[in-house]
Amino acid sequence: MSTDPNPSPEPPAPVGRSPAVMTILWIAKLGAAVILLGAGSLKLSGDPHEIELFTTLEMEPAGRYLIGALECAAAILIVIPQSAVYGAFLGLGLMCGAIIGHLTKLGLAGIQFALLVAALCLVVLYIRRRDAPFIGNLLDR
Amino acid sequence: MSTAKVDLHRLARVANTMIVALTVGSFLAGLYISFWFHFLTVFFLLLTVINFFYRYVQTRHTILRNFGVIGQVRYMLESLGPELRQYLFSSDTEERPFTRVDRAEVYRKAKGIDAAVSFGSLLEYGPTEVKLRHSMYPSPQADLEPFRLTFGEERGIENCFTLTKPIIISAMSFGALGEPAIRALALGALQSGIAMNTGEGGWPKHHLEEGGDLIFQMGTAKFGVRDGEGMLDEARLRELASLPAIKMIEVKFSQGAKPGKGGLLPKEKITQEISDLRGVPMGKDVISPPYHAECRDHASTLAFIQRVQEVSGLPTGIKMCVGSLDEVGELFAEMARRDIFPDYIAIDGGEGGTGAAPKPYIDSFGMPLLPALAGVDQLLRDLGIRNRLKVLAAGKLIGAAKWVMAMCLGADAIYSARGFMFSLGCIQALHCGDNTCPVGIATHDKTLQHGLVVEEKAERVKNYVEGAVHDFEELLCSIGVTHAGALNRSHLYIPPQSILAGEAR
Ligand SMILES: Cc1cc2nc3c(=O)[nH]c(=O)nc-3n(C[C@H](O)[C@H](O)[C@H](O)COP(=O)(O)O)c2cc1C
Repeated sequence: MSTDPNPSPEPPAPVGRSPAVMTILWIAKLGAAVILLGAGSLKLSGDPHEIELFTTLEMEPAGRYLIGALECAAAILIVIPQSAVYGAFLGLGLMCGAIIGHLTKLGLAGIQFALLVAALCLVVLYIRRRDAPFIGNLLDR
Repeated sequence: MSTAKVDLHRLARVANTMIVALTVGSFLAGLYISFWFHFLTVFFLLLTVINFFYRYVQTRHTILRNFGVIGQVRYMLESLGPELRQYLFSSDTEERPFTRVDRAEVYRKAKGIDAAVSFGSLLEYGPTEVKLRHSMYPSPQADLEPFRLTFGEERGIENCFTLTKPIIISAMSFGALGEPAIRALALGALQSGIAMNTGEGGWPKHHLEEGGDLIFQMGTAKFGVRDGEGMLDEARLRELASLPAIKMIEVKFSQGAKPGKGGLLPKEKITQEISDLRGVPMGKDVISPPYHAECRDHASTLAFIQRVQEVSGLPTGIKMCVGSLDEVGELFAEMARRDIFPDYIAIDGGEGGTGAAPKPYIDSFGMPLLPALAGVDQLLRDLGIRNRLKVLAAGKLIGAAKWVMAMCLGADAIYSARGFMFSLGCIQALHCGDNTCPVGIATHDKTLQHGLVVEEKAERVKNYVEGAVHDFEELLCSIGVTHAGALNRSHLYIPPQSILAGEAR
């Protein structure tokens, strides 16, 4: 009875996480989601500052709508437990783009939000790393 | 090197360099041409990070460490391999355990398509195969006697049970199969007038819902009729046996797929309901003991069989896969000496199926059905006790020709498990153990069960039984007998080099 004679392919086991870790996870998820949703809706609603930024990037208006929509999608995905890692991946990617934009064209003002969201996404990814596609199954349990 | 050759090592090196180069390239394009290129920058940047992780951080997979993301392609292709082979590359007679030719015959019967096959046999038809012998003077269809096999008549008990068709649905537990599959089988059995074995899954709640004839199987863990210590709870057995649907009791000693080892239900498949019906915890594989605690030698085994017969008042059989004919022969001799006989013995071939079993047991334990069956029949005859009990056979007996072969070697009736799974739409995806059966049969996942409509599949089961029984009757006529009891070895062409040709041991 003690040894399992038939190790079957294990589903990503929900490793028991302590309440402290769960709290951090949810703070990171909600924090990232709120900022992403705020930024995304500003872009979609045509906020003058966003229009100015995207004009500088020569991506007006298509780029603004696309990025805004992706930010909103990431915000939603990241709060739903089953899709949190995908939301975090998407959020991280978007923030990498934003950081590149600030470093190369837009100036440093406002970069702190992008850095903050990227960090929060990394926190989510780290805590939920075992569920991450292509990576999770390579990590120790 | 003059010939064209794919050097995977080189390809991977190029790919690993390219990923970095593309990141830099996209960044420059984003900087000087259009910011849109930064979508690519970000994509390749993340890919670079993952690639770095594969090559320098993780230690589990050699291929990923040596080749990076390109190595993933190998794993993806490998994971698709079984499907690709099944759909594209395996020939019709190549798949295991059942070839497409075997399965297609069940599918056709189940769907009620009575198609003849054209041009010639796809199987080996050499002198090394066991074949049926027809007679120059087939019996007229009108002379056929209806099939009847009465269990318990030897002991003259009150509650005998009579089969009117030569086929019984072999043990498959609720647990191995999901609820809709169990109910479709039970309903199909009822509609076609055959009996169904419950398997060792405990109190047969879902089997009972449809109201057909049931053979209750008592596995080594005695789920459904066990007491706190895992011994027989007589009151529970009496209660169960008093249900009108329960016609016989089967004490399972072993099963062809895992003889010498108890049943196994992986934790993925243990739902709340199963844990209640079996009285086992969730989240842990359920491993039944390899033997009945009451049975430690021939004497105690026979005493236990007699006890079950007395408590249940029903015909009581045993099921086993034969390991050694000498050992089984001793048991038979003991039966003769004590005058205690089970009402039947079901022989499961080592090739038998299962929901889950350790690989060495599936592949390497137990005598194959035909020699085991022939040996058991011979032993019983030698002891002069062949008329004291019935013999059933199980092990890849799908289709009437296989049934007849088994009957020629001593079987009185046939058990089939996987044949009936095919009639339910099983595609041999081999996922019975991990709860992901794509056709909703061997799973408790509601979304996968959605596709299996009980009434529809019960009809398929009925069609399969009717089609195969029809074939069976035709074969009897062609062989030139008028009832199944008349079949014997002389109706088989047994090649001289076959083990069956000599003394079957
Ligand atoms: C999914 C599945 C579940 C089974 N469960 C049981 C069981 O609970 N008890 C048992 O004695 N045999 C069990 N068997 C074995 C079958 O009853 C049968 O003996 C064996 O598969 C050989 O018959 P076949 O070749 O017609 O499938 C199971 C087989 C399958 C495929």
